[in-house]
Amino acid sequence: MATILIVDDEHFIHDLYRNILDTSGKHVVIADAYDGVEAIEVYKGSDPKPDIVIMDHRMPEMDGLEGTKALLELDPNVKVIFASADSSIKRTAIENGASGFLSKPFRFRELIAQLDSVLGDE
Amino acid sequence: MPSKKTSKKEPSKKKTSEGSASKSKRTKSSDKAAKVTSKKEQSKKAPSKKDKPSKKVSSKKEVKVAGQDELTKLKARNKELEEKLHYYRMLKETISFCSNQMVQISELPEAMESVLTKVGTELGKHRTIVFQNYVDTEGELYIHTFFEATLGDAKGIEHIGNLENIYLKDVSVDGMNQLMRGQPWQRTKSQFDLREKKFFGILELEQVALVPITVEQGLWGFLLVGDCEKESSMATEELGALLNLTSMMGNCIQQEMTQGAAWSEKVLFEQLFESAQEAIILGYNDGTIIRANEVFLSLFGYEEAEVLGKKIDDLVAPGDLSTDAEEVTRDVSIGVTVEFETVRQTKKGELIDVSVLASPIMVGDEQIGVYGIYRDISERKRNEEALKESEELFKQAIDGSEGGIWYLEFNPEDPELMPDKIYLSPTLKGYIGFDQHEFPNSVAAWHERIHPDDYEGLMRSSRDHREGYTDHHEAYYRIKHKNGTYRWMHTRGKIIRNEDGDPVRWVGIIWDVTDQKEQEMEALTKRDQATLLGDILAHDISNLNLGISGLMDLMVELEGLPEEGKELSYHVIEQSREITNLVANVRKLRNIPVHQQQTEVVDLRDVLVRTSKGVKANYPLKKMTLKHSVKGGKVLLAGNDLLDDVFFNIFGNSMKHSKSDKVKIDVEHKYLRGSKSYRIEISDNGPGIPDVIKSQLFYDLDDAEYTPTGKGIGMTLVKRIVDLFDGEVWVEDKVASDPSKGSKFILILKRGELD
Repeated sequence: MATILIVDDEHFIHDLYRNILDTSGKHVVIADAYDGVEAIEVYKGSDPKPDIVIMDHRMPEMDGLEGTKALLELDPNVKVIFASADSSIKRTAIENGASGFLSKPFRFRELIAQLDSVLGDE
Repeated sequence: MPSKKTSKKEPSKKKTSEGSASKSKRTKSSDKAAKVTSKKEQSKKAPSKKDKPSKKVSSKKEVKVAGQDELTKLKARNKELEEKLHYYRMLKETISFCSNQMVQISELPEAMESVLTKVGTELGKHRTIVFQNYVDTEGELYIHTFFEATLGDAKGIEHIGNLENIYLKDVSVDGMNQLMRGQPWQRTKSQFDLREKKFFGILELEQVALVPITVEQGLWGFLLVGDCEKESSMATEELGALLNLTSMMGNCIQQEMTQGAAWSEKVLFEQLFESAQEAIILGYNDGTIIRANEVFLSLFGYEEAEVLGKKIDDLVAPGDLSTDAEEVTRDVSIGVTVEFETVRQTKKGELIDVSVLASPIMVGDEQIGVYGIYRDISERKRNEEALKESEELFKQAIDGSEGGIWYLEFNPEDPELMPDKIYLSPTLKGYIGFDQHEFPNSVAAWHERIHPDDYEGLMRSSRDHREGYTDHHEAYYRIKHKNGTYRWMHTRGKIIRNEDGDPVRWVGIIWDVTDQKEQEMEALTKRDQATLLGDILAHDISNLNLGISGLMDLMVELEGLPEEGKELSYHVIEQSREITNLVANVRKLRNIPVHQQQTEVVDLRDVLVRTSKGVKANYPLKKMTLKHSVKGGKVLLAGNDLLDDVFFNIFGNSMKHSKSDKVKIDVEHKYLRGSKSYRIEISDNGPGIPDVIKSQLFYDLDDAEYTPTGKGIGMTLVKRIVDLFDGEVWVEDKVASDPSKGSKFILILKRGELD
């Protein structure tokens, strides 16, 4: 069972992720954060560390790009799937160390496929 | 000693100079003494070259009547002649020549010719009264110069004028009249008072004849033939011979005078022509160049051979310049002098500002040619322009109540050094809250208050202008007000340079543009806000759609959900994805670059796989079959991620408008060797696109005449992206002239080049 940290400033998105991933039966959301700064704190406090971080782009305090960089500085092995409605940010996200990119809104099976893809890379 | 010759006309009596002295009735002296003293005196009297300037011979005058008036005229004439000669000095060498030889009277012409040859070549520019002593030696007549004086000598003229006191005091008014009319005069028993010469006393001659030397129809001098012993008058033949002699002398003198003047004029002209600071050409009346001086050749960049025989207008006023130049040439050719300022062209085609003086050359009433004088006034024009601009700047500064002026002077000793001393007008200091005497006239003090973010920009503009890269200095910057806030300044200035290009003065104006800047900032803020709102809208719609599609995905997984419920859920998903695509396309159209980007190599197969997967996810109720023969790594395109949007929108268009659940899309490709491009045809089995829609499908948002029909902007985005990569896109019927059989999109995309 792959463990996941959801980072998004929208509460209902957290619920959605949780419901979808619970349905898949292969993934479990173990932690939530609502901006980049909180994501770092939650990641630091997690033990064991989540297998994947699903990171939103636009968030207060620290956006997804900065958050991804900060997490990778903290743990170079962390896997981040970047999720944004702005597909033009995809290249920058990958350059910042993201392992995958999801263009919002995405379908259920797209999310699962992306998770499988990133986890399969290990 | 003088040579001895035999006269055929007169009985002669040989007489040496000593003998002559003993027989003469001089009260003092002797011929020998006279000769020696004469040389000494002549040497003393000889004037130097600089005593008399040279001038051209002027018009002729004729002396007709004697008397005081005539003498006055004579004086004037003598003075005039005097001025016309190159220099003035005594005929020392002539006297020396004559005094050292005895010349037989029958050979007088030859002897005098010899004298005059010498006079002509060396001393012919002098006029003289030659006093000749006539001696009779062994029955032959000789002439022997024993002294001379000059008519031009002021003292001599004075004596002649007074008559009473002249050396030839016996020459009466009638005698003078006779001489002036060109006739010889003679008498016996004459006395020559030579005391004023300080070496003779009274010279008594038994016989004396004065034969006039006429030059330009005026009395120039006369030849005196005197005899100390023989009282009889000279025979008419003798006088005739002497007249012939003096006539020849007059002609020779006149010729020498004329030639001398002409020669001097020529030299003067040459010097003037070649040493002139102006560019000068001489030409025929039609403007054909005969001569051009060095300055002209240098100014216009020609060799002499390139200009001689050419028309001046063809050389310096070709093309557009020819109109006014031809007019000038025409005017000058008919005798009009023209002076003006204009632009002329060098051999290299550079235009230079010149002043032109074009004038006819007249000889008498006849125009024999033209001359043109050109002066390069480019520097003056530049200075005038700079001055004009600087004056305009000052005028603006003075007239405009909102402008403050500044200026500084560069140190001529070190013009590259930026001075600190600057004049800052009260208005300027007022901009930052200071009174005139509160703030120093210092560049450094002003610069200290400039906002650090703006300082470099100001310095760059300043530096570029000082180094001559820009025509003027202009910058916007913020400067700290006395109250601590920042004010926006707009400065504009110009450096005035000297002829060497060194900076002399820098003048400028500063306007307080804080209000204008704040308005601009406000507008920018509003625009940023609009952009931000758009981004927030897109972001939130995407999130909401994520929620809708995610919930629908969850719904279809619910156990016991009837098929109708699932189908409805998929429709909801489709609609939410349409909204998402629309928002995404709007965002992309807004952010898409206007100019071509650096391209990457994009594998068409990867694009097809990615985009078909995305499109399929958007339409869960339809089955999309993509058929193509593109192999990985085989069809490489020049583009970037934006190419995904091209295919995504074309595929999406087929899916969206297809009435069938099964959408078949065929992709065919062909390499176009000539244009190094791929032709990619995407055809579907959809309902096709009516012709009226085809023409509007790729509408341009910038086309003011187009009224959007609200059918989406996907194809507009496709066109923009394809244009960006220098490609083409259009749509045709899959089956020609039968839109109902489906549509076919044709893309022409450049091939991607691997390094």
